[in-house]
Amino acid sequence: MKNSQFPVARKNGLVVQEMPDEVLVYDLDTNKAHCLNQTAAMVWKSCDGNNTVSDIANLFEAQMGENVNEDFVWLAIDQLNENNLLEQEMKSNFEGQSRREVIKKIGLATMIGIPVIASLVAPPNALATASCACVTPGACPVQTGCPNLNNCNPAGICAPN
Amino acid sequence: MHLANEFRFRSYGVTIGIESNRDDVLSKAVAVVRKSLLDRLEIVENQQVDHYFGITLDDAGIFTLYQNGERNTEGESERNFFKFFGSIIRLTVAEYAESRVFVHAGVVGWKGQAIVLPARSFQGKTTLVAELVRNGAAYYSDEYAIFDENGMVHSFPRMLAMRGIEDEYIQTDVSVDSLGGAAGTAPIPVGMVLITEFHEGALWQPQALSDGEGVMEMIPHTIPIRFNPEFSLKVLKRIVNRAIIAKSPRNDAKEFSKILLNFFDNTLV
Repeated sequence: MKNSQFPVARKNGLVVQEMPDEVLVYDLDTNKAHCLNQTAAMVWKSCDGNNTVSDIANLFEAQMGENVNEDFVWLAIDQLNENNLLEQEMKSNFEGQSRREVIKKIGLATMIGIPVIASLVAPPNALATASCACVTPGACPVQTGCPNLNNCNPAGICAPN
Repeated sequence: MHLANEFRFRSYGVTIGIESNRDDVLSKAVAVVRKSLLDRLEIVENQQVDHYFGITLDDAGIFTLYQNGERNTEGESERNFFKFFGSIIRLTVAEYAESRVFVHAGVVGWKGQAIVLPARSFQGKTTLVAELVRNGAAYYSDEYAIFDENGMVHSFPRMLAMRGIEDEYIQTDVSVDSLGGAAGTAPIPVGMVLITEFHEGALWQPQALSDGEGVMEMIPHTIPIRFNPEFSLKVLKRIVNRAIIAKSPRNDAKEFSKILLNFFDNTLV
């Protein structure tokens, strides 16, 4: 799996918070929050436009003292792509294998945690995160946590009558 | 839209103007605002405000609410209308507050540290907070954990809005005194953030979350996350740096409140 592309981590439109073993990234364009575990974060930080996937695998070995192959890096790249965290999308290079197959293969071959990016969309409006108060049913569909999203009951709550 | 009667105030740094076509309606709206925000406001006159609300009452008895010039809702029931209005006012302050991050959560103080319980509505937050207070915890809030930039939690001790007294949906205001408890006043550090939901027969099996996982669990309950993600994340990071972040389903609040306080004593005190 040789690849001569030079991935570049996206910088614009992101709020980044470094945690002890993780990196939190908030995408201002999509209002999605991403939590990169240690290995996904290391790959992301190594995407400086000067390193190939092969270089990143070598950097990993130097930093973590663990031998990882390019599939390991690709697994992170694949998720960075999916979450729009690279400047330019890189074509996945799993040669017909599914992500699940690659994870299984990597998981057996390495002692370090496989790269994982957990993501969620921030609630679309403040009303969705709180309350459940309504005057008409029109206020209910956006209040996603309430017992009923279509009915404003006689007590003024998005709930069954 | 400009209506004759007007009230302008600032709360947590957010300036809001309320207008109405009738004096009596404005008086009612002001009373609702004061109650909703625990009177934590100052009147600002002759000053531009960030948010405008207009309330009209027409001859047919229909109340209409306008928010920043756009019609938000309308209805006949005065009680439901002003309950909704109070909720919108609190949310507006919660979303745009200066130097504070409002997280939808129940909060109690225990031995100088806060237990924060982020959850959506109808997850039993208030019931659990009430039981913790009955067991000696200081009441901070059943709705919002208000964090400053250092991650300290400030009290918002409104009347507890308890369900299950009239029916399973209607909220009844209950004072902290009637629970035999007291409200906390001083800002306190967070000892524990617990992500929990009621499940019949659930066992207490706390799973410790990493800092990143903890922040991800709190984001859906963080009111200003879209308006001010940078500040919100900075504050959430400070909280998880210091506190234990745990996740577990829970059983009945009465029994669980004792388990939780024991766990807290054994782990954090």
